[in-house]
Amino acid sequence: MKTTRPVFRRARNSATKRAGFTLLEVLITASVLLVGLLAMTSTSVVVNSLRRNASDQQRAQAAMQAIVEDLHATAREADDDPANWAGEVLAVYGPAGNPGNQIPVAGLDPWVGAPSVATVTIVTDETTTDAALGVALGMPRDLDGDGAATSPNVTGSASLLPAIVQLQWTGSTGQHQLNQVVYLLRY
Amino acid sequence: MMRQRLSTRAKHGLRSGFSLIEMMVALTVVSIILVATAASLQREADSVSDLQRITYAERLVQELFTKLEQRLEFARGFTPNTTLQTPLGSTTTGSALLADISGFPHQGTFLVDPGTPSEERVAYADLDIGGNPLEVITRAPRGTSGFTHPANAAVLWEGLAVPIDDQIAPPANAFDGQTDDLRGNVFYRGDGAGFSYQRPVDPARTGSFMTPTGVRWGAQVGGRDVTDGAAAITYVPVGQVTEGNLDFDINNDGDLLDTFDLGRMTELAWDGTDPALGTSRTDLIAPIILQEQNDYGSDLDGDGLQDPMFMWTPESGRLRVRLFALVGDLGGRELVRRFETVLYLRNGAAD
Repeated sequence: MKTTRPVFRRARNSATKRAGFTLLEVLITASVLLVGLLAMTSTSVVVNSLRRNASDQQRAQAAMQAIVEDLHATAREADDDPANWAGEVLAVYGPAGNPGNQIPVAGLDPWVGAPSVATVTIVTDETTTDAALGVALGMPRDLDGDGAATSPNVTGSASLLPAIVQLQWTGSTGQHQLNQVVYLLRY
Repeated sequence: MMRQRLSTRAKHGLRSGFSLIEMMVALTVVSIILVATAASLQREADSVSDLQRITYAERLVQELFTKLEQRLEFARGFTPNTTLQTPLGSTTTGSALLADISGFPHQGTFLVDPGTPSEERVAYADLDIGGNPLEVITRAPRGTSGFTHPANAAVLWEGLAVPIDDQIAPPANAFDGQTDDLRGNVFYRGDGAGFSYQRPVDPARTGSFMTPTGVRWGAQVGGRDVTDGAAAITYVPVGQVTEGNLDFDINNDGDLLDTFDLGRMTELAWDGTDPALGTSRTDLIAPIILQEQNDYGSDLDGDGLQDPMFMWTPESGRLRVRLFALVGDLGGRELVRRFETVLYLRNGAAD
């Protein structure tokens, strides 16, 4: 026993003299590391979010184009008799039509509380104003070619129909909106 | 306790350090943080990678849609739907004489007797404008069998898909599929693998597309406007993929048994008066477009409804384009994306 004690003591003394990290040093290092890693993660999340936004935007624009082109095709296909034309267009894109005036868009979520992403509004009131509609359509305007913009409903006589297509979707960075106005012509 | 030990060490003039237990605890905590962060980073990297591939495919398809829009906005579409002028024997390979070849590309595939028990595909390599025959024909490619067809048998270019008249309760042999559309489900005839058209041309570069009798119709063949030329967007397979090899159910039908063509969209253009004057071929997109082999236009998203690439409504000038792209196979994970648009041809149908 006597012979071993000095050996242990020497070893412990030699070990305790070797320099170690202080708690503060380790904490600072770990914090710096953590901050760096978190910064990298958050950058990646932001980039991902921006890419997702761009993808949603592209999807919305494609949907907008498809709806607008389909509106034109609907206007062309409808009966060219002024008494029926607007009614037939509304039978497709009016509230009771198919697809109707509320259209879902695959891959996009509507605003909270909204029934769908895309909304189509066909204006049949010559007397309404741009201010009331919230878009620049040039209203009030003569829509049935009678020389006056006084009719509150041109469904039975229209030769021109303004249509407003509005897309509202919820993306990763909040709510987004896309508007387009077109004029449908009776052929 | 630790403070007491540190102060004891300080008394002895020693620099303080961690015990083995303290270091192990600290290392464990740091390791947990690193592993959690690394897992999060990996997930983000995977997500970004997926999104990059989707974005790339979206860009390619959007460019294709833009090219189609540029070509078709003022075009008029053909509805290549006619009859056999003379009977076609079950083994005939020389030529097939049609009543009307308007809109049939200078090479392609047509369907004879569609919807009947003797439905057959016939591929052809050339057409003779003057006499209306489609020449150098190959019988029954891609899954059909050869039959004898009488004169006046119905003939349809396989690219065409058109809604049929009876959308309520059509007999089974009156349509080739039903597809979902913006305005509801639609019964249609054909495969929908292409679309043929003419557009206003100005070969003499006078600045006018008009003649005394109306619009001068034609196509751009080899970069120059050709009066009476015509063009077609067609699907050209360049390779194949199998669900078994990819270990991925591409069409969501619950099995791994299907084989798909992977191809590109190509514009064929030809002189409608004399094909010898030239033809041209322009690839419009890289080969990422999927179609089930031997069953073009079949259901690709597992919703039970067919998915023709082109759906043409002559009465309204409406052309729906629906494409499924195999976006990538990085890390053994496949992605199939559906792309769709509607084009309105302001000049409607040619006939």
